[in-house]
Amino acid sequence: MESATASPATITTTETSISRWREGVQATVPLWPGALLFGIVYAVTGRAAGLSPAQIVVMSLVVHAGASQFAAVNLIAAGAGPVSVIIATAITNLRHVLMGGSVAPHVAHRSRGWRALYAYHLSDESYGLATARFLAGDGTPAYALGTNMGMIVPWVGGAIIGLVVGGVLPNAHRWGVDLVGPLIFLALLVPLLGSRRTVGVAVVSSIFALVGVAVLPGAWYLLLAGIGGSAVGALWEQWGERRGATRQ
Amino acid sequence: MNEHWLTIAGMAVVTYASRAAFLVTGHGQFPLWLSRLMAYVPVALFAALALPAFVTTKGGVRVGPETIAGAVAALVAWRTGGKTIYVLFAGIGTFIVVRLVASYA
Repeated sequence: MESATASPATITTTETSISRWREGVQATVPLWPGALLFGIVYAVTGRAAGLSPAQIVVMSLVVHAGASQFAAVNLIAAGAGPVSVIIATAITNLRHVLMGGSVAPHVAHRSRGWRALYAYHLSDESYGLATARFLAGDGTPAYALGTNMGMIVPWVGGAIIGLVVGGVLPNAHRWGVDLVGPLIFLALLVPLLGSRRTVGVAVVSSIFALVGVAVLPGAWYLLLAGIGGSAVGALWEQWGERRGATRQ
Repeated sequence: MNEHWLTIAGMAVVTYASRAAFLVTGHGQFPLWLSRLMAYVPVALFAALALPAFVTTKGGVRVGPETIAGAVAALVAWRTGGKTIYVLFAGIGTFIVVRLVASYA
């Protein structure tokens, strides 16, 4: 009953935000083993490429993009200079333009400073978890920020473990650790397949992804499938509207 | 000071620029064609992030334990409305079982 005293509304809102943030962090926990192992492999490869321990950890903190960091240390090991590594990173991470754009309307009411912070650690995983919640109608910016920050733990932690233990790795593939990420994206995808159009987009995007995996380097297939799949969806929608307009 | 620090700084800048492009500038409002496109980005990216792991290896397209695991997980996702924890258990469980069975067969 003492809760009825000082500005309960403000307290409740802050408490809700904090619990939503914590929920976002917790949602990333199933992804930790996979990200941790990837972080270890990245750090071991980075050491072999001649990067210092500080450089390896700082890269994970300030770049925070698994696929492009792994590509970068492999390029450095092969003798690539700063310019080519930076260009490869820019192309690999262009898909984040799409992710930022697709999540932007859901956080548009937050301040520019908040959005600048949120953009900092946006990853495939945190984007997926947060967007699925937003589309289901119960997402909040606090939850989205929590999913971003949750992924920092295994990614930076994995790099540090990799520096300490070196190349001693369990055979993670045997236990399906590398399937956790794809399984979560599958779980997020299926509820969105409510119309013929979204099923069509998923099929087209899958075809682009398979072709992309076969012919493109690194994570570029994601950019191809992201743009190709969503363009087909947008064109289909426009075509459907035009046909509806002629019929009237 | 070596050139790796320069590389890291450049990588951080280009990566952040991609993430911030639409998030920091503007107010989440796009021209119609772009907002239509953005509405399909989740489906397109989720499919692309999921599928290849179940049907490809480094060599190319193949059907294996992970394909069966993916099919079972997709069925569970459909029946449970995408409950992550069930999908994970079904997918990983199927993968381990099929691998074990295949290794003794």
